[in-house]
Amino acid sequence: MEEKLHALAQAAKEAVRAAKSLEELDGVRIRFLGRKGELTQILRSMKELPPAERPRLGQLANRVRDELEAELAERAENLKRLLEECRLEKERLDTTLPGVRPTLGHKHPLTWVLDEIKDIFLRLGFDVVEEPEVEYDYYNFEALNIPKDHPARDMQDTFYITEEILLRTHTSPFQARTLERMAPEVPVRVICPGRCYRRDPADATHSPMFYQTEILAVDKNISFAHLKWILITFVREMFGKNREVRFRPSFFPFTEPSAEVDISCVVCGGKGCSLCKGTGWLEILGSGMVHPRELEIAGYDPRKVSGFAAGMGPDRIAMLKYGIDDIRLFYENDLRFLRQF
Amino acid sequence: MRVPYSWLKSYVDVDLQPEELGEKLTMAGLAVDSIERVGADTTNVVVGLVKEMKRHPEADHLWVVHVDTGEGKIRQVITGAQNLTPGVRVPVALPGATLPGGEKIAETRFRGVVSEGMLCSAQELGLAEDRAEEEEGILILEGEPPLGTDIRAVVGLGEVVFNLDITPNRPDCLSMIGVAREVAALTGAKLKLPPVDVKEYGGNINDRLKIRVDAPDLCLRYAARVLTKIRVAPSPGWLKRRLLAAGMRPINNIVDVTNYVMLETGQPLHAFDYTRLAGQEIIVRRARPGENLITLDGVERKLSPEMLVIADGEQATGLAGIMGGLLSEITNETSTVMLESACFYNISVRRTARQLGIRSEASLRFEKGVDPNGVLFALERACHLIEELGAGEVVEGIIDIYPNPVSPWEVKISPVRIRNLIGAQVSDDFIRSSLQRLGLEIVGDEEHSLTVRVPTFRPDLRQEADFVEEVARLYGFTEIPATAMEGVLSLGHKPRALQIEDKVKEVLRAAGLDETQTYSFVHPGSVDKLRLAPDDPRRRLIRLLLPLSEDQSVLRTTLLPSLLEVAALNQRRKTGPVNIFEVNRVYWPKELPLKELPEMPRHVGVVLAGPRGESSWQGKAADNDFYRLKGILEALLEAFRVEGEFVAATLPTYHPGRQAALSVAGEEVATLGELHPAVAEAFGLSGRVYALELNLERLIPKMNLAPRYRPWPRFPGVERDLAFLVPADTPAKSVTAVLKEAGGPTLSELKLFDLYSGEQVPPGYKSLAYSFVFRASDHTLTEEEIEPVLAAIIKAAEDQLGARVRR
Ligand SMILES: [Zn+2]
Repeated sequence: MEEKLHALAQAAKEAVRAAKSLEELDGVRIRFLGRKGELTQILRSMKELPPAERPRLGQLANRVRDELEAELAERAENLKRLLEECRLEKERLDTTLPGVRPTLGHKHPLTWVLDEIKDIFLRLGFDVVEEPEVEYDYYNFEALNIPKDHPARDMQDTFYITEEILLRTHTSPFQARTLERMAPEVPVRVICPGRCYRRDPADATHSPMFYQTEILAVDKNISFAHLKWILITFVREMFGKNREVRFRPSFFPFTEPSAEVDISCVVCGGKGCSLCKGTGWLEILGSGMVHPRELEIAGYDPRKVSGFAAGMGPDRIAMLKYGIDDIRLFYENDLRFLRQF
Repeated sequence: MRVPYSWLKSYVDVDLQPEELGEKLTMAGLAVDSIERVGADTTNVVVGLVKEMKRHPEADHLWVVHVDTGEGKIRQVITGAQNLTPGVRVPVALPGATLPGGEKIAETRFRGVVSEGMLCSAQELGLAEDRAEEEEGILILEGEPPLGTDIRAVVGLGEVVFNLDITPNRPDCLSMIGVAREVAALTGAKLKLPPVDVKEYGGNINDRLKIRVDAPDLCLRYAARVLTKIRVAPSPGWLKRRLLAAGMRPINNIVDVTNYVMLETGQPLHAFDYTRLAGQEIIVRRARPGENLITLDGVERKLSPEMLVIADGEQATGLAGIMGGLLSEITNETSTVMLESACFYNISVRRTARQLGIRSEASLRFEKGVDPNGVLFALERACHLIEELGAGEVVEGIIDIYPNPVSPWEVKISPVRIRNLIGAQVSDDFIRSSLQRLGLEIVGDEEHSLTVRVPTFRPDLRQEADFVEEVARLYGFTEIPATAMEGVLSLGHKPRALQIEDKVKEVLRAAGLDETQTYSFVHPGSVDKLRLAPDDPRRRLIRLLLPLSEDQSVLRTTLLPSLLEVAALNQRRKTGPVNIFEVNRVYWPKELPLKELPEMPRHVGVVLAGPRGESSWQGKAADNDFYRLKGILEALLEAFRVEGEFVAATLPTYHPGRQAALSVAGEEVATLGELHPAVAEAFGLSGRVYALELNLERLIPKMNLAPRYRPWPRFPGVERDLAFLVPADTPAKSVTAVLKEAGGPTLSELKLFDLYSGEQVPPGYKSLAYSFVFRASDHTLTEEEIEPVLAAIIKAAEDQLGARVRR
């Protein structure tokens, strides 16, 4: 009996080792541990043994059974792992094949820039307002200190619809409209983005329609020094912390003093290149202190409050920021262009 | 404005490097566009003497010229210029020479004859602006410069010229003296005015000339002198060189002096051939109806009565302030000259110049404004120069008609306010000295105010703010500190409409659509291309008075034409799948012609043409169809928590069987559909194209930006699927309505999951398969509870829709 058990244990071990699949292994389990299994039968025949041998041989038989079960389990585990490894190996992909991308829509480059400008000024406490693109001559010119026949009207060729109604040539009418609405309240801090129109045939640097964004602040004791701070802060946020900014005197009919704002060239950094015509500077903003007459027209007392205004061209900013050399690309909408943003 | 540095130095002692002075001018508001060194890169161009010239044997218009360039041999050069005579000295570009702009000269052949170099015109040496070729001649050199001398030393090549961009408020700086005055103020140097003393040679101008100003509203001042014994000749070299460097062509000594003084003082002058003035009289008047004038450029101009002319006893002989007439032009025969120095009304000059399409150096200055009190200075300066050149003698007396003299004005300013507006510690002393350096006179100096007298050449200085600028720019914009704003902290506010617009764009991009930006103006025919009905309000277009082209002549009433054009362009260029959108305004007149501003609602437009996206190696992207288009709109509604209803539509723009309108709370806000093939064809589009247009402005009040959490049901639902055979023309919407109604409150979800017709479905029928979820809020439903509901649903479908359940 004892030898029989030992031989059985040996045979079972070999059978477990020889099993090549989970099915074969299951066959081994049935052969030895099944209801009619070899070990089962031995265990069943225990009761026929002399009582003195029963405990010892019973113990042995149980041990053989436990060991076999453990080996079966271990082998099953190994086989499972091996089979899985085998399957995974077969499932190997060529990961150098391109991914399958979701279709994402693209934001127009002008929208990127407009959003960024709005965002910066919102953080600086400016309210965003929208004003009409089809505008009265009065707000576009008269209220801005540009009477009919003023030489400054030379600078802008205007799309008129009737004698009194036109497509705004700049966002500046918003100054007059805002001041008229707010007077005599202070502080005023607003930004107005939008489309503007001039009778310039389209070429690489001109477009009959373009965007402008204008800011306006009116309060007690506002000075040119404040204008400088706001615009330097804006430019560095928009074009990077190391951007040099320079203010130089210029002329706009509705500001006095007026300043043109230049930034160090985005291409050469100030050394001089073809983009900046060798000067190292790029014109980016027009600005100035709100003309006292404009404040007066709106109903403010220019001896008590003052303000500043600045206007910028998102088209130009986008061209400089993204290295675009032809303004027409914005409005042509070739998808090969739009999908780069 | 071109300012040669050496010329500028005649009026102010300044010794700065050109770049340094350029920087100062730019930072003071006289923007320097560029600093040129005229012809500085010219090499191997030397002085040559024309020895002999004969016609080219093969070409009549060419000359074979023999020149001596001091090399001990005679060179043979071919030229097409007709202004040479033997004995003149000219610039000769030797083979291997470089001209301004980098042009290289080599030995060439003209119709078989060798040319060993090239004779140069002023323009070729970079001394004059571009001109028409026939006006060109070879530059004849003054005096007897030694043969073979480098031309740069002879004609002043290498001269530094500042190109200034003068702002419209500073007409005084359209002159050398004006710029010199600025330089003096910036550097502290003294301004030196040129001599204007005139020797009068007897006679009396009043015996020789009568002047009458009939239009004093357009002519503020008219002054004249008469000069006799005129000897018209080429100007001396220094005068020519200065004119050339400043961008004007020398003509003859008399005309050159008038141009020179204009550049010097900013006051345009004009010289008339006195003997050609009928009746020896000048009448400054408006043109007569139908009057014509041949101007100096040989063009016959039709005049109209609002134009100001200078007339003699018979006819117009000059366009006031713009251009002289051919008849009274200075010629080699001119012996007596009337020299005019006048101040014409700027608006009248601008209108006339624009109407006739003429721009001259004179009109440019009159348009910006000329100082009426500078008239005599310029007149005397010109007479002084003509005498200095020995070109004429001045008759005694000046005629000067100046009925309403303009006087300097006074402005009271507050140094404290100036300081506060600048935001820098600018001292009172600095303010005083700045004003004085600018040539302004302080006539009152009180405790808190200064009274400044402004000379009439600074019309831009009228009120305190103008002085803030003067002080600030002399102080230096760079020196002013950047100071953070003080006051109440405030939060920037973005209006709801803009918040919604941004979010709409976000949703549409997430749906895979690319954003476009198209012009607000379109071709008026675009509404025909859309096949809009004759009474469609979108046919009421706002037209521009003076459009750039018919393509951009009306404001758009719908976004679709622009988007369809973009789609067509991209199809033509094969740029890939076209799935685009735009959010911008359209323009709806309240009445035509416009009396008030139009309605300008924000619209959303979407166009899908071609597949939904890029194909990949896994296969092609699915094609767009009506339901994708509708799904985009539904997704948009969901994002803003809006309930909408799609109803039938009958717009000619769309496929008659594939279109719908979206209505929200009883108001139509959008239309969508597959484009009618005729519309697609009209826009040059191929394949099926889908489009929608949404009036966002109408939808905005109905949109909800604030999500609100609702717990989902706690008890599981029970799912059942049922397919119904219904007559093919039954709209899915009515089936859904019947099923929902019959399902009652226990039917918590109903979703179409299959639409089928074909095998096993009888003709004239379609199969709609729905999944139902039944649910109670307080317990899990049992089979017994669901059975009667299902039965009711099936019965309702059979009774109301003529449906059969498909097993
Ligand atoms: Zn650069």
